[in-house]
Amino acid sequence: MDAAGKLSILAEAAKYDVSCSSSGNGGRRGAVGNTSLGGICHSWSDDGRCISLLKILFSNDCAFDCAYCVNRRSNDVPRASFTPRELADLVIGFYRRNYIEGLFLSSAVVGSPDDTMIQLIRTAKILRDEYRFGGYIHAKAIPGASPRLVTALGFLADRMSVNIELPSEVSLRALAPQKTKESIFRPMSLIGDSIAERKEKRLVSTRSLAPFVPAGQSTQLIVGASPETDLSILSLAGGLYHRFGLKRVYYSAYVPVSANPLLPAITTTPPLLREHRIYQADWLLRFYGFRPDEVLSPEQPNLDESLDPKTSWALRHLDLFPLDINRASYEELLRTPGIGVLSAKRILTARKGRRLDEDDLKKLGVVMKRARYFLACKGFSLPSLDARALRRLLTPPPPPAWKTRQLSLEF
Amino acid sequence: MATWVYDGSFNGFLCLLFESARAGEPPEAIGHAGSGQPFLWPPKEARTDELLAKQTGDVLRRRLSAPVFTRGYYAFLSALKEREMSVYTYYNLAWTLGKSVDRLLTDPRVLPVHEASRAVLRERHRFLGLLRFTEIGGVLYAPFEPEADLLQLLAGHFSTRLGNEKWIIHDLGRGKAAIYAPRLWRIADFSLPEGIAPSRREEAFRDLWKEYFHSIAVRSRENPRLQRQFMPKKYWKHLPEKEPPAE
Repeated sequence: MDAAGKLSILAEAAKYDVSCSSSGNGGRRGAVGNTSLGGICHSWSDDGRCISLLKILFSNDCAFDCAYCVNRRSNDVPRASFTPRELADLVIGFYRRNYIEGLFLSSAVVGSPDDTMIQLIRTAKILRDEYRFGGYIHAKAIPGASPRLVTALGFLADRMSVNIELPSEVSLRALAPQKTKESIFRPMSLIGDSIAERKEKRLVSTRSLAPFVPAGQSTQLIVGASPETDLSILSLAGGLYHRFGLKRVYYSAYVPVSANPLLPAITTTPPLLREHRIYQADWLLRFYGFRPDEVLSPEQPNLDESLDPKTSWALRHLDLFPLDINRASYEELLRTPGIGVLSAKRILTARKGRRLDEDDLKKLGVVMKRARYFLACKGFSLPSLDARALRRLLTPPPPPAWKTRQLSLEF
Repeated sequence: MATWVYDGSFNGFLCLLFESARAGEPPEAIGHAGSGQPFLWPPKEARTDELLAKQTGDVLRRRLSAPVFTRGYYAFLSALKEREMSVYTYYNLAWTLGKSVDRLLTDPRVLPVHEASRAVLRERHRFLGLLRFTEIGGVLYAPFEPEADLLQLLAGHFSTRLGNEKWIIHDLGRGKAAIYAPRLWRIADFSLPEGIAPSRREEAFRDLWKEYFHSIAVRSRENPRLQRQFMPKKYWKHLPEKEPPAE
């Protein structure tokens, strides 16, 4: 099989992995390539997702049979495998032309988890040692691989990840019989501990020590393949950020890839809006100082799909508003709908110069469409409305039916 | 008050600032020397002198603070209409206020410069990813058509990233290029010699990239609007993955 054939099969097989970010490490430099702290996107595919890394499987010839996965043993799809050299050469070729920021190196389980890890390590070694490649490598730890190999790969990679995929043990047992909670969390905590240990060593060491997974680790959860609520998904994510120090948790709306009585019907469309709301809530956890139990509660375990989670929260806490824009603290500003991290910071700077009014807020990038109901400033404060009326005002109208299809003329 | 002209470079602009202050004739309009623009009165011309530019730059950096000076520089590179006068006005205000000029974030003398500088940095960041090199005779060649004058902001990044290569980043609209051979880059007027075509091997790499681009999209999530939001059509011209398929 030629390179194009393999590339197409193995990219096709990797695309349900969401992570493509190349951020978190600005310090690597090589003969070819370097890394950029904020990460760089190089293109955007037809589904609107950013392409930063060459996201590809080393092989899709899997020994496992996970029901939700397109590469499962029992699925009838064409199979292909790279050799370490083929894949390394492809990466360098793409990288020199500025197509990509680096490699997302993953694989199906070929033979045993350890055999697979050895292939991944070989590929990364050719890149780092032979080409002296300084670009980004995101490597996957294969569940069940031995700790020694996970560590070896960690010294070659910028970021590592172990995908949880299913947000509870029950679903895992039902849908991914060869994986266990153990086999996922063991490498995850090994990587987490090694990162922390290495960081400490590098702080006190007088020699320069090779970094271990300097951009941290991430994971992925599938949304909508199993019956977990948004609350249990977010609590799990909150725990991962907190306990394992994860950099990112990715959520992926389940795209039906097989007919299985345990899974949603093959005709279901991916729950994109739900995924979007979960991402918004995840941002609230990471950048806005919210706790999972503030965003959701056991009485209301799922996110409201018609409103973003911050607006939803604000409507439940109307007693905290309206906020005086010239006095409110940074933390309070962050909790206001329509104000983001950037605009909150700009407000803090700008109000040192003079008292701000409504016009200023627009210039500072505040989304007044939402924020106006929660703010008071010079010469402007809205009559207080109750939560019901506000909710009506803030819910975006559904697109009218005639707008959903674009007119096309045929010639 | 007077109309001033200069050679269009940032160094020239710094000399203009110095000369107009020394002459006690602050600019009310700034144009390019030899651009053939009609002026009501003969304009005053500031000559570019590298040493004077450096000294003026040093003084400004100290008096205005480095972030203010740099922000003005970025805005100077932008496509903002009357960018020279905007930067002049901003620097002038900062001459009295120092770095606290940025607290007047919503002031019409400050906001346009902030916005222009942000636009330049945004476009730069986009091109860090969207620039595409083609290998031609051992040299990596990347044509592009940015709105802002980005060459000097991109050259540093690619000289660390592709440090062992020879490359040319060509701003087609402005007819100049950043040209790099290991360890050194410079910016010069440039046009690609005629009759140079990429090799077969190069075509093969482009095809592999297109293949990848096509395979990685999840069809049931297709979202062309989102794609255009991040990667507006104006950039497609130089992206192999967005080339219309061959007949």
